[in-house]
Amino acid sequence: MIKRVNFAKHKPLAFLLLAPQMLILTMFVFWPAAQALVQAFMVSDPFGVRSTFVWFDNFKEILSSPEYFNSIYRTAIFSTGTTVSAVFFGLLFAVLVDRVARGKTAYKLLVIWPYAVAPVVAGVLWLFLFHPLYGAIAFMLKQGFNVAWNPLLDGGDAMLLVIVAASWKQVSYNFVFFLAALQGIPRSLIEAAAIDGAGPVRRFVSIVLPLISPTTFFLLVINIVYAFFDTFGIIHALTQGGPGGATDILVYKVYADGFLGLDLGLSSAQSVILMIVVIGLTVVQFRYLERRVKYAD
Amino acid sequence: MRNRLLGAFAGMLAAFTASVASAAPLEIQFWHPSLGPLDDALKQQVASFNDSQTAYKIVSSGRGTYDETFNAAIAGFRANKHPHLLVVIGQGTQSMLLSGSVYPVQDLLTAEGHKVDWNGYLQPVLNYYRTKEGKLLSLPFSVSTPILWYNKDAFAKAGLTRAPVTLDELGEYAGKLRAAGYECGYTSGWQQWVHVDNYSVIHDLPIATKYNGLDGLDATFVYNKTAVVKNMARLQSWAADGRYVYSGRQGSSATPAFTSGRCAMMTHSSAVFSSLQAGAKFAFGAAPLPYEAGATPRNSLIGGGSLWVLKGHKPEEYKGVAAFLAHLSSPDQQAKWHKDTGYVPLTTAAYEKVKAEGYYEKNPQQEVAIKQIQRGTPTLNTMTVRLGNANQYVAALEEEMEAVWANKKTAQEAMDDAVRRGNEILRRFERQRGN
Repeated sequence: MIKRVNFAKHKPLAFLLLAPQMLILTMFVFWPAAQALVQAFMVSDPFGVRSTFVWFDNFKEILSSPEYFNSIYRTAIFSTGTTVSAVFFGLLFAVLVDRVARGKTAYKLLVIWPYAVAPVVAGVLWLFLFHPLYGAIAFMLKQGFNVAWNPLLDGGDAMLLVIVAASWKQVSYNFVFFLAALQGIPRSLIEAAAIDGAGPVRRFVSIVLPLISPTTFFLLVINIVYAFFDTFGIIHALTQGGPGGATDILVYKVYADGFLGLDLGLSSAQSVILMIVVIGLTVVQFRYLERRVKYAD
Repeated sequence: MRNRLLGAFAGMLAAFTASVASAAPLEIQFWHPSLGPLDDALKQQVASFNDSQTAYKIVSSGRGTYDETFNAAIAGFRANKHPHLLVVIGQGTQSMLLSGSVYPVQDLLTAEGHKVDWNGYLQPVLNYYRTKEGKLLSLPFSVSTPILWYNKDAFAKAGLTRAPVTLDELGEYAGKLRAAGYECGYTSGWQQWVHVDNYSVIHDLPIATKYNGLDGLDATFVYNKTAVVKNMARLQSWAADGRYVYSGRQGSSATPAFTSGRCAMMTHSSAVFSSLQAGAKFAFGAAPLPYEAGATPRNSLIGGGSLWVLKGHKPEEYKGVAAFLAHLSSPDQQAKWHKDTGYVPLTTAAYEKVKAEGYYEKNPQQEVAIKQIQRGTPTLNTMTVRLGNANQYVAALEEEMEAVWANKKTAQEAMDDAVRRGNEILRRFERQRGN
């Protein structure tokens, strides 16, 4: 039951109102994206003095390197891990805070806090806490639980560390949306179910979850986009893609080749591939996952 | 009323003509990376030049890391708003030459009438930034070389009385230090710079063909066919029993591993001196990098930033740029810079001056690097590494080294892979340059 709003009678006004937003999008999104598309077919030096049009050479070069396929695999693990844990813990904290009777504001503030920390600062903090030689938490793991923790050499540990660091920040964001959604559920529905004998788990699964599904769906999309595009700062501060390429996710490769390696052609070609992948993922989400979402009518 | 207005107008006119007469000093833009604890020393250098004369004013501006500074300069080039002076990391020399806007420092100083006695400079420092014909491209600025740092208290505890000289000795010492209760015998900052670049240079081995790229862009890596592989295999065996502990890429993670007392020995840049002084709660010493038993060690390889002069500014401004560079090279400035920062002094005059003050008797650690870079006669293998896309091939090499420490690959496999990937990156650089 999708309601469509019709502007047929006021077309000029509609376009006029859209214009400022379109202008901003063109300047900061469409134009750079078009530039990336052009660069993807060029080999050029960092200063833009010499550029050669090379057709699909950049793409061929990327798709023939074993490191790139490793990167795709790592990205799949990283983005699934980050999205699932960020959404899960965001929801968990929201449910807990929603139920708490006293000190709600204090809890809310504490959970939202991490969102205010800059990603690079967060990355450096995590690095110092988890460094195998002098990190406080690494030390506790070793002494208390006899866990030989070493994200510098163990790829699994490194992946776990970047997933935790990347989702840590996103939990706050998800928490805010989930809490708002939970507070939007009419009390009467939950009370009615309780009177009918449904326990807390049953009430959550059968009433709360379906009612907040639009929020969950929105957050899934946002979090996947975050994991794909916004996490190079954390990777750069924590692992720089190491050890041995274990956390070398696609967007970090784009960043490293473009802004550290200064190879704009190779970097642009990768970002075009990344763009296609994310557009594809989002289309799939909207076509198949959204069918299960119940919007209020 | 009318008179007052007129008076005010006359006053304004007088002020205006006065300001024109005592023309404001010409501003010279100087972009550099932030050097952390060493920023104060840099500010003092700039201030001493600005105070010494009135014609020019150096406007210095910190632009973050070396990479960020270089990116800012690229944006500057594209908008034609690049600075007069720019500090670029030594590995970026080949990339800088792509800009087409380099004004070689030696040409500038000659054109502006400064008679520089280049023989009075420490040659191994200049060599790194020279063309094959011997012309100096950029003025060395934040130059250091890796040396061995060791915890003297730990040595006393383990019954060791002097620093290790050979690499095998380094391993032996690391074992003894572990037995004395130190969980990490030895670690390294800048592992690739120490164990591939410097290892090769000290033993007069090629890193890449064409004299490490000095002789042409079509150079290829060859360190998978030299004793570097043996060096890696040895470190791998130390990593397995804890004598060597990997503390992370680049330089920043190794320093706290040493200052916290966990690692009793560390190979790292000579410029970490002030960080160690601030952070270490124990006595520490410095010694030359250990080398292979029986080898005659050559000079070590330097690294660090240099000052580039960029084209496209007004002729009268270049007079000021040249004056500033000459000021920086004076023995007084060089001596102060060296003592403040731990970077290597550029001229023998500055070195002799610091020596005469008796500074090295109190701070012997500061002299180790200077002696190490002047050891032996430089060969074409030990002059420089002049290869493009350095950030990328170094990252690939560090990845492969991690695979060795984690025991995922043998030293030979990892070096073969690093060379294959490195060569692809070098070929890519040739294409970027339009070849």
